[in-house]
Amino acid sequence: MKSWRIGRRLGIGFGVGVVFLVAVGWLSLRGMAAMNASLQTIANERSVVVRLTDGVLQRSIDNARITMQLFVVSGGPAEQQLLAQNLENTKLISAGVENIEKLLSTESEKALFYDVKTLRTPYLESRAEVKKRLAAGERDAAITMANGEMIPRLTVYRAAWNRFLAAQNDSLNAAVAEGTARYRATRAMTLLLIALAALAASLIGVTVTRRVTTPILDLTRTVQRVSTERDYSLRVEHSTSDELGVLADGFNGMLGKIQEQNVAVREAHDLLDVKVKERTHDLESTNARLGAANDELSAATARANETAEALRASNQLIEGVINAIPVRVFWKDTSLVYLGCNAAFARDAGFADPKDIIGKDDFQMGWRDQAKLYRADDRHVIESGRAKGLIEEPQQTPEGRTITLLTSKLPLRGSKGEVSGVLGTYMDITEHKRAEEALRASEQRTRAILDNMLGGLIMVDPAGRIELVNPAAERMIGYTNAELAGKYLGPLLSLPSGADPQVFLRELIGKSLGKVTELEGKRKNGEIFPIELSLFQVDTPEGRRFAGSIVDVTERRALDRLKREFVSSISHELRTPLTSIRGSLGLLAGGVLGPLSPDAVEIVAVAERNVLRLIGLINDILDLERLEGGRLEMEFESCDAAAIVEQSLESVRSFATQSKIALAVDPVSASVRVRGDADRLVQVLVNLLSNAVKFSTAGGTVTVRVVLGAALAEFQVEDRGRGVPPALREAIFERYRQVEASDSRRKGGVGLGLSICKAIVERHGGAIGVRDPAGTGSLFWFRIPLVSMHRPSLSGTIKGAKGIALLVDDDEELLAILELRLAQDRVATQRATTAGEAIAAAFALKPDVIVLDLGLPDGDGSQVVDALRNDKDLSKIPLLIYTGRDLRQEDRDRLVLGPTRYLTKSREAEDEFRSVVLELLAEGERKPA
Amino acid sequence: MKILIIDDEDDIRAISRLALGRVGGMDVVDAASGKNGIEKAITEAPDAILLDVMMPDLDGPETFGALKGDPRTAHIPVIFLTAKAMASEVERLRSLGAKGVLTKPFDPMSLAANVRAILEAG
Repeated sequence: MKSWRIGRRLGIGFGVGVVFLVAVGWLSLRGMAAMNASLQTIANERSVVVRLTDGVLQRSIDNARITMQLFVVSGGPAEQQLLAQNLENTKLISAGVENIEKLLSTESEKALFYDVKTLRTPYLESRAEVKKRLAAGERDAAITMANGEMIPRLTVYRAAWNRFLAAQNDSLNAAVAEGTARYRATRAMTLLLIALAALAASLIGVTVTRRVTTPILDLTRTVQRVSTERDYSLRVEHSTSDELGVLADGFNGMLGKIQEQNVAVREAHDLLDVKVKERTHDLESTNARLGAANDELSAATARANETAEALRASNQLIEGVINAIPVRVFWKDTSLVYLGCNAAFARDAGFADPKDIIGKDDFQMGWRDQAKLYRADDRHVIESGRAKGLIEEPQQTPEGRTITLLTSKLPLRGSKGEVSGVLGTYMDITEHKRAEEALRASEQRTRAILDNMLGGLIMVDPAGRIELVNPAAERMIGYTNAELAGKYLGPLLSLPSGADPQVFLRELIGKSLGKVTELEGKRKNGEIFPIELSLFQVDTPEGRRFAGSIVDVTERRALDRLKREFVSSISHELRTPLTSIRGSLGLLAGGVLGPLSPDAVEIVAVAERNVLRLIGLINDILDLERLEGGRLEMEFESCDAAAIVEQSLESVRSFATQSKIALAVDPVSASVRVRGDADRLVQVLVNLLSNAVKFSTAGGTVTVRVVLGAALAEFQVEDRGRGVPPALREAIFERYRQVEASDSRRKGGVGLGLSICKAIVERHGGAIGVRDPAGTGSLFWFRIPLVSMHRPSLSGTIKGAKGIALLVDDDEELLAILELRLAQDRVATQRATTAGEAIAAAFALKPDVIVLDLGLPDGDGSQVVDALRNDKDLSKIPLLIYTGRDLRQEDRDRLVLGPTRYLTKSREAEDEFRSVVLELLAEGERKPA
Repeated sequence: MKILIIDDEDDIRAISRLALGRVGGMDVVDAASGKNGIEKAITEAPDAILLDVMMPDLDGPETFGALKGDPRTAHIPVIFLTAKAMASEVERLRSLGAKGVLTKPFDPMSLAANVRAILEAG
């Protein structure tokens, strides 16, 4: 029965809770019903007649939250609607005496309303009378009646209304006050009841909880402690005898049993532990002894393996080396029987495997004939106990050739130091000996050539020290090889006065390598003579050497001068008779001396044509001679390319018509202007055009055009003739050359034209050449500088540059350094490495300053100065002569453009170069261009 | 128009006479040296003188100087005839004050026209 106690308690607790909930709900509902009922009572008890204008009333109704029946006496529909919106609970009743009367409940208000009804009728009657009189036009009577009767009746009627309304108002106020009081009382009562119910429910809950949960918590805590602490001596304390008491008793009993069993287990365990420990100790000591023995064994095995491996590797290496080297290796015992050899030796002996040699002697080898010789060596080594080195010996090969060996032999010794055999090595030096002999022969040949050649040859080291002078050079300069060996080259050359021999030599090497340079040599007796030097580079085992081939050109110079003078004078001498002949023939052909027979006309035309050719030829010879002597004057100015083309076409038009060749021209832009001598450029173009006509077949076309480059204009003349073979493309610009030897007779002219063209174009700083056109034929071209209206934008131009410096030097490395230095001062630069390029660049660029080296590959810096001096603008450009030579005053006087300075390379103070260039730039700006 | 030719070469003179006289319709007088030329210039009072440059004794420029130095001949326009065709030579002769420069060898059929053109050029 005990076990039901907790269930019963919980059941009671639950039941009481439900009862209380029901009670609270009922009380709340009752309270609300009571409130509604009290309010309803007022509504039913009180019906009130009000005027809407009464604001107090409206507020009262709001506060009381009561439902009322209102009789609205005045106010229009809009006002009624407003009231209805604000007072939801209020019922509106339409006006009307009957309606009002229905609402009235008390006697007093019925009496008051009776007064109202009674007084209303007389007033309405008099008002109707007044209206009637007014309608009848009896105005005075109406007024009298109104004043005397209608207004007093109205006043009385009004007063009755007001009394009635005031009573109603009082009634309303009373109802509102009453409703408010009732509402508040009911609300307070309801709240009190709810609070009491809640309090009772809480009390019951707390009691039930305490009685049920405390024993459960006790039990739970004990179970947790037992499970975590394994303390089976713990017990649950309890005082009740309900279900929880039974559970706690059962749990306590279980703990007691566990405690007893635990003790027995622990005792058994302790006993086992002792035994296991004893046994383990025995095993461990045995194990340790075994381990030590094992380690010793492993170490010994490893050591033995390592030694064996090292030995094997070493043997392999030795065997590998012996078999890989080209040197032959063999060894014999003291009775000179082979014990072994390497692979190379076995091959020489004609065996595939070195093992095959074992047990054999030299008489059984391919070199049977040399067996005695070899064995004598062996015996000598064995008997003397000393090595025998580097013996040169012959050997017969299996193929029957005799080769040369270089052999070494040494004694082999036993463990006690006694000689036990011989070890031999040898190399095949046949090829080596042959090469040595060939070299010796070659040296002899070279020596013979050097000794017997007509030209002089001097070889120097990079510092300029003489290593070799051949007999021809000895004769030329008067010194002997022995006198010059180890000396510097300086005394052999006539240097420009003041030039530093070292600097001069360095410049010379840079300038003359691979080219022919004209210099002045100096003989032992002091005589100065012109030489031509061509320098080439020789790389020897001792290092780089420079060899110069020297030709004494004294006689050739004299001859050249004579030839030039002869050509010049003979040409002029020829002109006078030619003038007469041409004049005579011209007069004859012109019919001045009377009519000629048709045959005579023809023959006179032949004579005249050939006289003209002769005159042309003489002009060519003169031109060329002057061009080569640099004496052909040219006036460089800005020329119209289109005009040059037009003028040239005009000159060859009649010749082309005669030859039945069409002339075509691609339109040339009128704005293309080139820098040059217009007459000479026309001469070049006419020459190319007439050649093209000459070598075209009848009916062909010759086209001329101008193609624009960045700084250059290319004039092109294209024909459909037989073309120029690639091998001859350079040769035709040399003197007296035509594509075929027979051409000169067939086509006229000895081929001076193109060499003149070349000379003229080069004087312009341009180039000329021929290439294949798109189709057949040939395309002759020449390029000359454009007159630039604007400076071309230079690659790498410095932003906000102070100006452009044209740097002319053949030493590219120096140029790079100068560029860097000037870049620091924001000076843009343009390089030129030859005189031709410098002139072209000067015309194209109009630089602000020119830095000029004098020794240039294609001439002298003075040529650049001369070329620029002819130009109005360029002659005013500031110039810095920057050279390795010391300049004489007369040189300085000659080398002048605008403001001009002179600096000697490697003698300038630090940064003097930069400051001078900057000064020149500043001076150039001050001077009006 | 009367024109005086001064040239030491007989052949050239002969051809010039034909080229100017027969072809060009001018009155032609000639002289074989500078000295003789100056005399003829005074006596013949030509309208123009065609003067060779390279002559023995008194050469072209010297003769030119003498002609210009004499008030009787100073006004006569002089055209040089030279075998040196270089631009610098032509420029040098022009700079002396010559009316024009013609080069040898010349075309006899157009010589007169060329002379007229130079004279008419003002």
